[in-house]
Amino acid sequence: MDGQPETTTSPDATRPARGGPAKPQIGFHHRDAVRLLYILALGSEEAAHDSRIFRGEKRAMAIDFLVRYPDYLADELLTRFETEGDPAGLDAASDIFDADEPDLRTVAMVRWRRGAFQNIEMPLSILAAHGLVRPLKQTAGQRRHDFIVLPAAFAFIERIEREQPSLGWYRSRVELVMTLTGFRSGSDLKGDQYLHPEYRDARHGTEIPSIKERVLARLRSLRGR
Amino acid sequence: MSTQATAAEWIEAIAGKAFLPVPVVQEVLDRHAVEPQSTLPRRKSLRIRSVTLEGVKEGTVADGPFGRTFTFGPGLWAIVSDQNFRGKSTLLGVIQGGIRGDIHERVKPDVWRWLSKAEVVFEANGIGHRLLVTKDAGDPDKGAAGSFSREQDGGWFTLYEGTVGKPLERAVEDAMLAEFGFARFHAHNEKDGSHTHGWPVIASALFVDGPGKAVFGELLVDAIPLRLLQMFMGLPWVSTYTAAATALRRLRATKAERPTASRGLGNRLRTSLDAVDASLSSARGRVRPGPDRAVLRATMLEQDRRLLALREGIEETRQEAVRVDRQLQGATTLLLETRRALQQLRDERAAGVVLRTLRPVCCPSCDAGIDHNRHSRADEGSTCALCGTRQAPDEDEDALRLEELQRDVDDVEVNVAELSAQATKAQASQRGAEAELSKAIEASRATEAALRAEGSADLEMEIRGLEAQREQLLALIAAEEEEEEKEEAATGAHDEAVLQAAEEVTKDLYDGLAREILADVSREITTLSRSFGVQNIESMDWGTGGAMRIVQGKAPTSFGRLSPGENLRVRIAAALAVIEVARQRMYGRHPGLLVLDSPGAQEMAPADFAALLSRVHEAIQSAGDIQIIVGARADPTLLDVVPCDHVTHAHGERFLF
Repeated sequence: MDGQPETTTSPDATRPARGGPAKPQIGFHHRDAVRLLYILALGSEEAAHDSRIFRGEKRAMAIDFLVRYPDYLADELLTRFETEGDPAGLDAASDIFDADEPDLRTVAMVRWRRGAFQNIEMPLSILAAHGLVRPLKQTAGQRRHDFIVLPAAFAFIERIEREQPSLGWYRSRVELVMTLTGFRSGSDLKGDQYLHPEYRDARHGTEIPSIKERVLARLRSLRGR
Repeated sequence: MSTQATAAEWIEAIAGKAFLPVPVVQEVLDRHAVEPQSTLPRRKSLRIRSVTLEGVKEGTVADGPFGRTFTFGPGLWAIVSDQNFRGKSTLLGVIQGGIRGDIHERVKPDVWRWLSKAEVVFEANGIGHRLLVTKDAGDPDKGAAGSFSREQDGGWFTLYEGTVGKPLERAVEDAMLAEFGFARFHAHNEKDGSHTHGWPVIASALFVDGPGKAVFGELLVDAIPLRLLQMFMGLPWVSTYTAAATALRRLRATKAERPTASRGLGNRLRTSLDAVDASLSSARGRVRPGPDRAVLRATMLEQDRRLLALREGIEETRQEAVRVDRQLQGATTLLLETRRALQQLRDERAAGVVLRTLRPVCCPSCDAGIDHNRHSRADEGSTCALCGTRQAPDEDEDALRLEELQRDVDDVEVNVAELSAQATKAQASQRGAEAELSKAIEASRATEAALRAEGSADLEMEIRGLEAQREQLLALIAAEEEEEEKEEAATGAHDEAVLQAAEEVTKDLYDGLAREILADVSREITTLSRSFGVQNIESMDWGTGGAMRIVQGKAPTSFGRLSPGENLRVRIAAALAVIEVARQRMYGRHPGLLVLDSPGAQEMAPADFAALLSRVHEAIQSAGDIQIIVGARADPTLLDVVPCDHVTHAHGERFLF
């Protein structure tokens, strides 16, 4: 769907044009917090004192972009299929379209000077207040933001999946994205995203457009071979 | 009928003979340019007065400038040299060229090159004429300046001025024909058809440079010698007779040719018509019975109307399809947005539910820890442990919104389904209309093709073309037949009768006189020939038909069979005889000039030639207005004959100029 997907920064946009649902009083901060939790938890690595660390806020945003734009993710998967011959990539891309994810799951991001950007202060503060994640204080000369993922986070994730199974989608999605991104740096990942002309050429301050149709055509072409 | 018959008597005689009214006869004679010429001509004279040659010799033993004037008068004149190639023939050539206007043609190239001036002054009937050619000495180019003038009031009146060539010759011819009353005479022979002879032929008869095929002049064709004889004798009605006879022959020849040509044309036209008829019949046979073209055109009009209506219908269905599609697009967008909102709200609610089960451990603002007691107190007061806000009973607003959204999704889904069905229907309707239009277009094209069917159109064109050809041929044949009839009516009936009568009447008019004159001439020729040394001549009889019957040594012979020496003698005798008879009878047109170039040794021994000239001299002495110019090798016997002041003599190795 090429329509204007709503963003979490403009909750008014969740109201459909005519009639439609009641306007939420706050944004989807809980959902955003859960999505961020999955990203930070599944993207973390071991650190000292039995804790885990997620390195790089920019990296978190790059991963978040692929979670929020299923069509861009599908394109990356097709690229992997083409370059590595991995049939799982082709299947995963197909699944994304079969489930209408580009239409249903897209949470648009705004193109800023340094690429897709989402202020994560609110979800981060929720996670921090509940003792799940702790931002590391910046030391002199270090520009990168890292996050300590506390053991409570993993226990909470188990609870989420037990009590709200529908949110399990975020785990599988972040895991799928992680197969592509691994522990590559945020700059590296953004470099890949700039390869999309729709992403690169989007005017600053506007939502990054969908590339659903193009990817769908590519998928059909690859399927047809 | 006497020879003095008038023109009126002549026409009446013809009319009587042809049994036709005079006006008809006059009209036919005018049309064929047959004019009466009834008057006896008075004697004419042509005299060479002087010849002037100037120039510069090159490539000879006597190179250098030269300039000499040779003067002549009446009587016998001689141009002689002790050696050959001293310029005699050049001088005689210049004289002939002078009176013919073609000096440039009658002089050898080397002499022409030397010349800077050649002038011939002669008298025609006592009036001076001058032919003058000037050029640069040493210039071989024939494009010299030429002028022809007539003496008038002590000076020269220019009749022509320009370059030498045909215009100059024509100017001289016109003047001479007018002066001597000669007419160009018409002739008709099978080889050349109708043509005319003029001054060059007449003038050529004044020059004898050896034996020839003809008694007079250089040509045998068209009975020229007889014509010249008649002309020189000055017979009245000769030109008239010639014109009538020529016209009659021309008419007969034309009639003999035309029917063939005409029939040929008519036959060709009829053959073409037959071919066209055959093609037309074949083309008509190829026409297949087909639908009436008028019906086809009416069908096409009807189809055009239907096409218009169908196109309008298609436009309507297309607009309907676009309208429905636009609605469907809107509804689909709305559905997707609602579904996405539903998805996001579900996630939000689930996340909220699970997150709210946690107790904050620190202040999100200052990171300060929140102890257990604070949470206990908040629970007791039903307030928030962080901000102290009183907790209202949970109305699960999100659940209500989820339900609402779900209903919206359901509604929009129904809408989308309905619109989708409508769109499908509209598209089907549009496709149906388009298919109908395609069929109608196809039908229209088929009708168009039937109308324009190349084969039948070509055939139609072919038939029209053949019909047009047929019309044209019929018109041509009709015109040809009409023309044939007209020609028969116009010429066949009267012209031949009139011309034949004219020929007979005219011949009768001069025939008797001609016989008398020819008898005189024949007698004179015989006498002169004998005196010139033609042996054993018993009689020479010149008939009115132009043939000369000769009895020599009791055997009949002809001019053509004479030996070269005899031939030359007879030619000279004939010229002198004509001049003499004209002198005796006081009329005739021979100009009284004779130029003789030296005969070759095989033709006549110098002594014989001298003897001949002696006889000539005797013959002309009695006629003071005759001029004879002779070119010859110097021989004592010859010099004895010619008065010494009439001799131009190049002695020894010298040249005449």
